[in-house]
Amino acid sequence: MAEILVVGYGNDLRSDDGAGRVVASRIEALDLPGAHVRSQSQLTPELALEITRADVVVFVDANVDCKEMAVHPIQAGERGTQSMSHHTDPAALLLLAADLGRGPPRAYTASIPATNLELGFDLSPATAAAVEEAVEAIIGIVSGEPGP
Amino acid sequence: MGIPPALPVRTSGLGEEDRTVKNMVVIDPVTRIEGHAKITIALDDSGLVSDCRFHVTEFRGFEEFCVGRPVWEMPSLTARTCGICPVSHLLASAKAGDAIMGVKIPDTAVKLRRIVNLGQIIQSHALSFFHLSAPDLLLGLDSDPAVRNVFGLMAEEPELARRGIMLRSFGQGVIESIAGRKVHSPGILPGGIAEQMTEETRERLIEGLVEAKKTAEDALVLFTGMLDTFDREVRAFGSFPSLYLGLSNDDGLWEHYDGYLKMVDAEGATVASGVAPADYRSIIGEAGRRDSYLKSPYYKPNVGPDDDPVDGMYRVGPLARLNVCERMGVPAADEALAEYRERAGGVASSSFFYHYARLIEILGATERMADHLADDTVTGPHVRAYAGVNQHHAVGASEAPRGTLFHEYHVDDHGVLTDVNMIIATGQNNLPMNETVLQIAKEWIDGPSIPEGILNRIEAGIRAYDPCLSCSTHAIGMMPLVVSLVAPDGEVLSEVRRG
Repeated sequence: MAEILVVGYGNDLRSDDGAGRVVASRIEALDLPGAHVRSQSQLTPELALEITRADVVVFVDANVDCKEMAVHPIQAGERGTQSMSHHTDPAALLLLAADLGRGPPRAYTASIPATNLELGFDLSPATAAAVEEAVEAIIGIVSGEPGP
Repeated sequence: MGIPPALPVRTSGLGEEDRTVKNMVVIDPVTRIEGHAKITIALDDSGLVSDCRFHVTEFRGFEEFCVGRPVWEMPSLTARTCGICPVSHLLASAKAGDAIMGVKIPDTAVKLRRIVNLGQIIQSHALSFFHLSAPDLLLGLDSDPAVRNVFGLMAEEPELARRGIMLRSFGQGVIESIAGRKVHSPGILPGGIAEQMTEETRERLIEGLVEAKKTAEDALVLFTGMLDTFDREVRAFGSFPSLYLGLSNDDGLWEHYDGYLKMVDAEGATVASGVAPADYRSIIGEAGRRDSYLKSPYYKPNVGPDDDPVDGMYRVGPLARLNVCERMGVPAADEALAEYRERAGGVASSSFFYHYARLIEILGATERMADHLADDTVTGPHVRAYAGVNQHHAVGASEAPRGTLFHEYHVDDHGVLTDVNMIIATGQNNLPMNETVLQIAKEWIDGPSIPEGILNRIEAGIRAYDPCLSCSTHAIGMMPLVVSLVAPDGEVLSEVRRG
């Protein structure tokens, strides 16, 4: 069985910005076989260790630049173009994971459209709908459907 | 809240006489630190360094946000001050809450809080050393900046980098195990800890300590082995006399959670001791500077009304803690401390030794944690005390990885905050960071041509303090501000000043 790591990240005090974490909690509640879930405020370097143990990784984050939920394959970043401090980004984490041992055969980003980043816990209707789509897409990936 | 436009650094930061300086070098942004800052170096007409400033250019205002909130929320709220060392804020806030409630928390809760703080110190120091500073130390300060990062380190020293990440992961795991989450953990509360530790967790942490301690020991061997090659950096990276502040205890042991305030001077002589954290204002004053959103705390007895706060400059953090304590109180770290003091010639006055001190603290933290975990009472069920508001004013203090952290609260009868003051470690190192930048610039810059490696040394001098600017830039209403409306031809149309 493929080991799948779902990483939802964002600020859950900033309305739509917490959408990735809402997805993470929804996936965790489903207790899907082979799925491991991380819900974090930000991506931190040690996540690379968990990525080395996964066959598939899905990074789920809110995105103010996208209009609809989108899942895209992502590759490790190119050496020399990445930096890292206390937090990082998916491409850099994949590169670090590759350096640590192996990167996952497949990695995706799931971008959830966000419009309201004000203080609050509630998702705007469009973001809430996109969360459902992301959950369905991740269920598909977990169940072995080929990704986009 | 957005970040206001940058202050007019040149005209407000360096003084009236410097407005005529023709040459200026700006490093913006400073990399591999947490937050946003820039450094301004002013050269005189002959190309020599005349002044330097480390400007923190982000603004957050957390203290004002907290007023009107219940004290019970403060650990969670203030942990949001920083995603880097939230445990430190959780602990200082919870301790202030303990004092507002007027309770003595259960012994098991004290042990668990100590363990979680040790985990915090390990993870934070591991990231500072292995991820942020090791590229400078191992690849060289003059190496290609494109690879002078953790990825370059991974290519050159894969095993070291891997173990550094593992060490950081271990520390994060300790936090998650006890406090519930790695970041913004919910399990540290006024009155104690939310949940008791299970035997399974205890055994898992004991198991993980073996590798963590070995990594710290090996990193110390590596660091001391290359220290001689950084002789010039040791002499010029913030090597100057200053005061040092840290928590202390009656046994003279390295302290990270409780005790009283102790200040020592450049010779190691005690200048203040036995000061309760609640009385911190008796020895610490806070000044604002025109060119930074970072406050500048100073040792109050050394600074008269008309004096520059730099007269009361002190350092906090690993360097200070090792200067304040008599010994670590655990065998391997004490052995390392003895060698450290021998190499430093007694009191360590070079900020380059912050790196060295961090490694000793990681080692000591693993030993201390092992001692706590060996105590069967650590899994005891009594982890929280309950009470209402019994005091209207309290101060909580603990040692964050970067230095002593203070949370001071005033509350009403219902526990609602009426005033908040936080003194953050990075702020306390603001004055020495400025001095460090100036010393490095004067050591290496002697003309208008400044190689990248020299700029990196200046950044590395700041990085030695491992500053966390996100949580240290929250003074609102204290920052002297100058807002100028300037016409295209340079004419100042109007100017508003505060402070």
